[in-house]
Amino acid sequence: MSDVIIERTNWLDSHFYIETEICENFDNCLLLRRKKYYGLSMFILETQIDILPTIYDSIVYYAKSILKVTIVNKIGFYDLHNKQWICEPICDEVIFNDFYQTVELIVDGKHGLLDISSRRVVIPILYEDVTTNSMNNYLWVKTKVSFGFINKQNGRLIGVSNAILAYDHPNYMFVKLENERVVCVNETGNKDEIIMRKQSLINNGRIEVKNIKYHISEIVDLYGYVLN
Amino acid sequence: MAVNRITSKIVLNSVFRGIYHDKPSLKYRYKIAHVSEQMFSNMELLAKRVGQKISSSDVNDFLFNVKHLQCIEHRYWYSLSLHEIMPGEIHKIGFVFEGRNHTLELMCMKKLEFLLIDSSLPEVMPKSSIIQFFDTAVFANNKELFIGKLGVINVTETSQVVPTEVFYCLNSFFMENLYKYPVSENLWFCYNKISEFLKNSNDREETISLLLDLQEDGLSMFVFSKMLDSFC
Repeated sequence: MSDVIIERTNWLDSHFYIETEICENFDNCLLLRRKKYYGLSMFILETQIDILPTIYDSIVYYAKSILKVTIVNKIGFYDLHNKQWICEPICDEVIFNDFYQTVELIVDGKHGLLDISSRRVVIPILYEDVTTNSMNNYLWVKTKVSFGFINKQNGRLIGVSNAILAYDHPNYMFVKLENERVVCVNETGNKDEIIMRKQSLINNGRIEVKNIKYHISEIVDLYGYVLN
Repeated sequence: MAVNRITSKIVLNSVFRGIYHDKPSLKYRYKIAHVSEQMFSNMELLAKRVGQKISSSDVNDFLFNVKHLQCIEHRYWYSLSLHEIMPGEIHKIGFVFEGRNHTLELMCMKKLEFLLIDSSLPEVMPKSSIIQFFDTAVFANNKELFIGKLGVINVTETSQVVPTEVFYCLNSFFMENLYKYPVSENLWFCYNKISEFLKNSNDREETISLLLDLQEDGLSMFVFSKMLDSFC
């Protein structure tokens, strides 16, 4: 990717004299076009300051002052509010999830997750699959051998061995193990019977666990057996 | 390939005949019909229709497990307040009484009220006794526990009795909609229904109808089977 950027920058250096055309105005920033490439700049005290050079194939406003920037089929996201990249244009594919306000980022078959409301990549692009729901405290990720969770507060990966499925839950981490039993795990990735019991007590013996991405909704009892 | 929740429905539908009292083992057991070759062929065919496979040894193993329902005892070392125990849960406590090791298997019927499912002290604490604990009681190793007839005992071992997959195969046949119903806060109503049921005929239809009724109280086949044990 850097080669393309260097090549485009060189092109820009040799074509600086070409006048730019103002295409759109995003949050006091101007979307400029020089020939077929787009860039971004803003005026401070009548001085034009370039934010993004006119080297990109497209710049589109996505949501909450976040721009989707494309260069040679690689997609990135730029935060107009903080004037910095959230994710540089390296993604082969992105999947928007408007309901949860997230964007799934895919690079060479590896997945990550961008959270629009917190304006950051909450799951780095390293996993086989990731959740689309960023509202939970723990975000599940699928690794090559099992499932795990990313603690949204500190970004730490919590690995769980022998898991065949992980669920989306607002506060806790539930996984289904190879023996088809659903268990609650703690920050160390080990089984947490106390939480499981507390959740069971709150819900009168029936804990509902969901994996939103795979459209799975299961009701388990205190022992972790799936009832439906 | 063992019998799973789908194929277990086919098997049980063909062989289940009700409940009987097995005198040698002094337990209530599920009455299972002898599986003839024709019956097995029918089961095999029905399984095939739903994309499943069953072998005669799988069916035999499954029916053996249904007859001799086994549970897992899961030992725990944490302290468990009785307020944190759900109705229908079964806990086994070990203790020393008059110089000997004893155990009591207790089922929570409602908050702080337990039914004695099994006892190694039948003279002092017979099965089906009701045990009421104090508000502050806990199940924990090396903690004291007050039980009316025994006084204060020192608990030496605590374990939770956990069902095996075979109970869930039974659930899928008898209590297909169990997941829809939360566990009732008071299981004494269920206990009374079972008690009434055992006084009368308990063939296939009556048993199925009772179990459908119990399902609405969130009572699983595991709890039902364990409650039956307390009547023996």
